Amino acid sequence: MSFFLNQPQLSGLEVNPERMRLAELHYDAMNTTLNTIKKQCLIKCVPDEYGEAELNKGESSCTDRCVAKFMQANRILGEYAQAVRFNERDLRHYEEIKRKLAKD
Amino acid sequence: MDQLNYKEQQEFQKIVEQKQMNDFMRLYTSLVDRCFNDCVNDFTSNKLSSREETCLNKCAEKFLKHSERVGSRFQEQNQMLMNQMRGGN
Repeated sequence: MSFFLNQPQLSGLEVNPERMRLAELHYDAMNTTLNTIKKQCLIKCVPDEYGEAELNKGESSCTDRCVAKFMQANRILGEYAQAVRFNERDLRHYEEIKRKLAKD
Repeated sequence: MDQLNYKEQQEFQKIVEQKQMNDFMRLYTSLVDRCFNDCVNDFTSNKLSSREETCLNKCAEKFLKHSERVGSRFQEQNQMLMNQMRGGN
């Protein structure tokens, strides 16, 4: 029997849809954040003239600081949103829509 | 995401691959958007001038370098946050 125990037991493992959904949600949230940072920090740190194809020193350190500051801002705003129960209070109209859709 | 078992990880890998394709397309679209906007502003001819071409090439290279730099800083920052959370609790 030890022969079986040493194999990665694919058949014995279950795919939990809830965990998969959470992992996907987590991935999407990180990805959206990263895309927003890229967009914002490009606007703020890289001017629209291209004498060089390299990021120069100023642009590089601006970018580094921009990423760090974005994440700090993101954390503060996240805390705020949680404190005021942002999703319950300001996304209530979605509940209305969901109710209507459920009826149809 | 560490809590996923082996089979779930494999499933998730497939989902991620699809998402990466979308991300790549999005990155490419925003590159074209940005570089066309910054480099091509003269419409007295229907051909790109050599100046515009040089600008587009440099812009694209710079765009990707910026994107990579943001990516690695983002990762570092996240790692730091994770470590703080582990250490803090």
